[in-house]
Amino acid sequence: MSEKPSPKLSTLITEGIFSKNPIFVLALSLCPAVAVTSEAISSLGMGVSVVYVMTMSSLLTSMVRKLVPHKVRVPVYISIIAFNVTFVQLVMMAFLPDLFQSLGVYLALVVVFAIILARLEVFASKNGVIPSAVDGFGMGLGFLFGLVLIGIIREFLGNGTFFGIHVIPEEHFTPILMAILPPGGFITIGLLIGLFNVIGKRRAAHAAAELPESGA
Amino acid sequence: MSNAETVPIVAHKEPGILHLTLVLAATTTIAGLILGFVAYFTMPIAIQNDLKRKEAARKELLPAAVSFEAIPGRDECFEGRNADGRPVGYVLKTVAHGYGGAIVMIVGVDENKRIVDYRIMQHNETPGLGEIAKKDRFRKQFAGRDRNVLEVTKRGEEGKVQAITGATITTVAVVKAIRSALESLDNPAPETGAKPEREGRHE
Repeated sequence: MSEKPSPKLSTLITEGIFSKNPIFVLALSLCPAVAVTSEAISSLGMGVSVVYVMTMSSLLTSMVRKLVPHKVRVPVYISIIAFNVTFVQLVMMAFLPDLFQSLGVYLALVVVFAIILARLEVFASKNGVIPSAVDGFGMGLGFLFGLVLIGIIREFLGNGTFFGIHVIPEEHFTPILMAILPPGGFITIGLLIGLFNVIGKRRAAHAAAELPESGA
Repeated sequence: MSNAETVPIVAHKEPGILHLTLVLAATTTIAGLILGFVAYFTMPIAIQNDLKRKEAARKELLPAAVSFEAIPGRDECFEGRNADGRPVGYVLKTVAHGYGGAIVMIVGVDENKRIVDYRIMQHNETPGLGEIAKKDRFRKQFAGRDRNVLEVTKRGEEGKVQAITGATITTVAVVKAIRSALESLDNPAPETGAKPEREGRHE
């Protein structure tokens, strides 16, 4: 096919979720990971938006990659991302106004998520349409997974709820308020990064020669 | 399968300034046109939903009222009337200045100028924390109060509004906004739009 072995599509997805998880491994876009994850439901809304934006942005970038001069590629990529984000905003405003409310300014900030621009620059601008879309989708899924995991933990500790449903009767539960405050976000993410490192090392020890490192 | 090929992005020859300008202009124009087209369809839906949400909130805040008459000179303030056309209370829009900017709320007030309940329509408070001001448990504290018994406490003092731990500014802002809404009712000459009060303290 081509000189460089083109990455297997399924690997692109699992990499995005585990070995190259944007939040826990690459540690990119941590600001929104702290800001919107005090509730699982807003984490989910944000995560799904990011999956869409990343998939579509990678796809569009890959489509125009041969037309865009190197010098102006970043403004073009940002325009593509902003286009997709605005689309999500318009649709969400019309059909999910409550979610739109609770995400507030952070939805607009998706435009400048480091992880999205990074994937366009590293992957979508050098690969075909299908692998690029899959890469964006996988990375987005990794982000979604990370956000929801953090959101579930913080919401449970801070409110005793799971997606807004009380899992512990309110009278027997003293919330750890700090969990839904920013420090709780940092601590939760820190502990999860540690956990991912431990798991990553274990897996690497098990299958040392399994995954050839590609790109990034 | 030329799609899967790895293509270097570096162009063969340096494109001129005109070329670069055209590429950027084309990108933004296409994006703008498509988004304009999408907005043409989604915006009316968003506005409709917003109106419906406000109407539903009014009904919830003043269940006794069957119709709502706009109070002249005030932005989104209504007098609720029952089936006989007798006033049974008011639904007032008020804006608080919280931790993250404006908190837009509507307050239901009965005919004795006591608070029934309120709804937060829009806010930018800390997610998960400022949100507590929307919850039943916090809102219940306001029911039946009039403008003279609206004070905030952080220590659980009897008869005062218990502040949300970690969101004192939000609590104070909400209380202030409700109080100014109640005061505006006693004001014989209504101004246009309740003047938002600034809350400068950051704790």
